[in-house]
Amino acid sequence: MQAPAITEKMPRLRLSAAAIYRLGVASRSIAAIAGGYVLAALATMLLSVCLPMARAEAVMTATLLSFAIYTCAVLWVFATGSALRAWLGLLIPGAVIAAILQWTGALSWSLA
Amino acid sequence: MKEGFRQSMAWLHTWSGLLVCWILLLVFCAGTASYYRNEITLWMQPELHGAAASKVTTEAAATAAQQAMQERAQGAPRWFISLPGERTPATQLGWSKPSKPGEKKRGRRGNFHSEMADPATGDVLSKPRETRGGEFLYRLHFDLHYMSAIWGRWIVGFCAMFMLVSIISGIVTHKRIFKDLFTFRPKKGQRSWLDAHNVTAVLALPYHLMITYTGLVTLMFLYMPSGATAAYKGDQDTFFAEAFPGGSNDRKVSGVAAPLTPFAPLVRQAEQHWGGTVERISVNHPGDANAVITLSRAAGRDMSSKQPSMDFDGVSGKLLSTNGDELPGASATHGVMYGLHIAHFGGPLLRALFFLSGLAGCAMVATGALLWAVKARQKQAKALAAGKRPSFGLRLVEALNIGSIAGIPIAFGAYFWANRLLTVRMENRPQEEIACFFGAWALAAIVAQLRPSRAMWRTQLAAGAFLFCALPMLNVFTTQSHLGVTLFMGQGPASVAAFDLVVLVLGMGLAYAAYKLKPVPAKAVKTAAATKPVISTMEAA
Amino acid sequence: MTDVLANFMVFALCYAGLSCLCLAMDRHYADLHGRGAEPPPQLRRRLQWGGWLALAIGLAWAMHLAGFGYGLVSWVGSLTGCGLLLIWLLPYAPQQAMRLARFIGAAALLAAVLLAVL
Repeated sequence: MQAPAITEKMPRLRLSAAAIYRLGVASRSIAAIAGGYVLAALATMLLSVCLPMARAEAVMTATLLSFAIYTCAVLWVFATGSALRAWLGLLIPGAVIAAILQWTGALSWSLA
Repeated sequence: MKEGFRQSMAWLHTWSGLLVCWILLLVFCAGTASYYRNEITLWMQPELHGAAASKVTTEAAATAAQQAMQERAQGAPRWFISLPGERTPATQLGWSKPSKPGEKKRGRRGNFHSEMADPATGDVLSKPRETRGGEFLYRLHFDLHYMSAIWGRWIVGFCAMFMLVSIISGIVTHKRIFKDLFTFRPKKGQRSWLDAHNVTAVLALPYHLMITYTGLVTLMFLYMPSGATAAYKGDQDTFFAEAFPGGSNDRKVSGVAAPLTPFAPLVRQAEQHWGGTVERISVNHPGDANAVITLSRAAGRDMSSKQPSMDFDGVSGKLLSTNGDELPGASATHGVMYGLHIAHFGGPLLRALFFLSGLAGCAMVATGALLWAVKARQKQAKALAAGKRPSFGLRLVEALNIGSIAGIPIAFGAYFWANRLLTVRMENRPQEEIACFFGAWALAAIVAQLRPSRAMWRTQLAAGAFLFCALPMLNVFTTQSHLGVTLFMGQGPASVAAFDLVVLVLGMGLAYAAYKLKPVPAKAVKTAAATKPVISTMEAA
Repeated sequence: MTDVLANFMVFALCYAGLSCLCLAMDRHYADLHGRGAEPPPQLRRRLQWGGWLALAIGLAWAMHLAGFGYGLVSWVGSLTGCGLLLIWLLPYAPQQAMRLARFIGAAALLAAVLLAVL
């Protein structure tokens, strides 16, 4: 499905509608797979530190829930209106969580 | 996606499912087979079929094992004993070999000796042919093969997440999920494939959801270590010690020789305490004054995979500690989720139902992939009728479908045939059997890529059907424990007879599928995508 | 023996329940009584009530036999098994499905009597 190329005085990058669509899909896929994982990992860290139970129990609970969080993030990325919203929806909560973790001194950069 | 929520979820469901479906099919097939991995291993070691008959109490088996170990495991620093249970008929004895002074440390496998023993007498069972047996299939479904285990687990975990997303998006997008629950309209082409996919997916939905999520949970500390690293500032060891309390009765060798107390009274005491049976006995520093005997409980009917254990002093038999009797909430939940996945708690009926649900899972994955191919072919119907070739994507998917849906049964068949046909005393026998599994699969997949046609489907399904159906017959020529003996004379281990029968039934399913795909008359080809659905095909994993 | 009978009861109740619920659906009622036939509203209600009741009793019985967790899992497993069996029979041989239902019903009654006696 080729949209007519945009012709103007200055040469412009010509992207067909199909290409824009594919870029959007690619962008969302990266957001979902990588961004979703990071958000889930951050949420797990926050829960592990904040849940009002014994440390090992909190870690166990948080890790058990992490896959549900990851799945919800992925679904949201593909359900939301645009790729931009998808990224913002991951980055903003992620940044907030990271800030809280940094403030409580629990931010650990080694995700592995 | 500018479309609505349901459409975007439908899109997500299709792609998250399709991209990984062929690996998932392997995982499901191997995983479903793993419910019976001990039985499969027994089937693959015909030399042991005779001993499988004796039934002894755990006390007697423990006593016989202790005697055998005193004789054969002289000087070993650690003993491991697995007592016979519901799934394994023989006692398994293992010990780490004492290191001779000045000798270089051998790899982990070189340092360990294990053997199977008759549960009543402790005598070594005649060395059965070397095989990985059902363990290979079990490991295959999460470690994959021909790559490091970590890589395999990451790939399978990645696919499992895709599957989880696919299931949830599938539920969300399915408007009338309950109304459509019992809808199956055969012989209607694409509609029928959709129905088959819906039925196998929705009827076993609790199972699919459970098995996928719990599968991720079994390796969750690999996939999501950030919780532990955050709360313990990177100190994973402390976390594991706190989360999985074992006996902290690690004593060093004292150098003073002292006889080991007999096992039987300890077994009695443990079984009374738990109300369950002892499955595993491990001994640290047997024959030393500081010996510690640890007894672990067998999986009972409660669903947690975490079994309590009891530590005893090796010389006096005094109870040192009980571990894991009461677990806190999250740990118990983790145990139950783990337990649900490996399903050791299941009695014979429940295990059969899990197996059936696993087959439904294989069917769900297969019908999904087939549905996509049928739909894509329909979209391209006009172009195809005008003589053009199918698109790259369609051709690739169709070839992969044949290579996996028909190819994986061929691989399984080849593995079992290799077990019977390869010479018994062969160098690297287990690896050779596994090579047959992958060799046959590769052949099927490559040939499928060259010519992904209806005839290819028929050929490969027929090949799989032959390999499966002829297996019981092959047994007659290669073993003493074929159906004639195990079933009709009622002698041999029941599980071996059951294996033969199940394999026969699966083979008949494959044969039926191949039959259904016999060549269509020319005029029917014109109407797009009029493939006859065969739900039974998909039951054959 | 009592084990087998008891487990059979769970299976029978699941099959009965699912059969009732299926019959209450237009599609499967028509499978049996001819295209376009619909169950009269009173019958439909009765079938739905009966179906859910049978399923609930099946669950309770399974839990009574094997405890809360195991009972729940085995009930779900039974449902899956019965469901797959029904979906196989209904489109291809609806009469057989109903004949099977009657047979299972009779066998279940016999099993119940035997269980009470033994």
